[in-house]
Amino acid sequence: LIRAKPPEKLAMMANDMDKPNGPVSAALLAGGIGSAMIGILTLIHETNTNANFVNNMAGSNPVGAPPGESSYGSMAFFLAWAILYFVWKDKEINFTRISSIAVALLMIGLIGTYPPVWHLLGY
Amino acid sequence: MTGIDSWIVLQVMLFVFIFLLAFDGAIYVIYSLKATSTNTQWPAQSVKITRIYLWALAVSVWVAVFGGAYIVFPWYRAYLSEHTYDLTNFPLFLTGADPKIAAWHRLSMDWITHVAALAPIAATVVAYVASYYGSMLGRKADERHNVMIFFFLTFITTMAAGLLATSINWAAAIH
Repeated sequence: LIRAKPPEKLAMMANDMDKPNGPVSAALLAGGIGSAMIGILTLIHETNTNANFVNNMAGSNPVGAPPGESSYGSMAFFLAWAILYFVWKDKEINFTRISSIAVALLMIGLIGTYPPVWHLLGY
Repeated sequence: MTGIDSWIVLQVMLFVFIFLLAFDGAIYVIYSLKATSTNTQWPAQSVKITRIYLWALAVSVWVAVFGGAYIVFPWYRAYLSEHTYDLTNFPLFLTGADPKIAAWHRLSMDWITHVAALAPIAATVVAYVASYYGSMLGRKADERHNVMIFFFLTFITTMAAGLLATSINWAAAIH
């Protein structure tokens, strides 16, 4: 009943286990950066009436700011991912530290997009 | 049914798919990857299905968020012209006109239109991590656990905002 795995499959499994965590760390940290970018852009736009640059990002009216914030946050995510991937692709990274930073950045995104925070800061 | 109506139906279907089915499913499949003493490897077929499932979730969230932002949102926020008395095609003003729900409506719609943008990023990160490690993700406890915290925080917040917005809009329709 126990069938031996073919050598190429065993080699593939060993490779999976040996893979460096750099690319995964890059993706997670980039996710945090993109999220924080969305939170910060939202906060700037919602608490500062002169911050028309976020409105202008959307490209058309009456779309307004949210699509601009989403677009630029997404671009920040992909750009950060590409750069970090390039730098970390073959490296073993302290994943616990990276994930703590990523979650902290995510919290900036979540807090920045929560409307009562805008009111607290003068919106 | 107009084009915008069709898109809203699609948007609701995507919302239901993403938050009631796919989100829970993604949490389940990632946690079920956990390696045990008797099961340290996942069958290749299961890994393939998990990858397809997670990437389908990520693509759906991108479509839902950017479709919402660039198709539904402009319709929702359409400005009133000077002599408009029928608010049927101006949802922002129609729901805002009811003092009982106006404040809740504003809060929920402001929240969901902004926080939703975080969900596709988290879904993409999870799909990538599952694809990258494949069958060995179960043995990568630290990576699996931390990525799921990121995913869970994002989706639970987006789901709360989405459910609040949906219930306010239903309340508006009933009123």
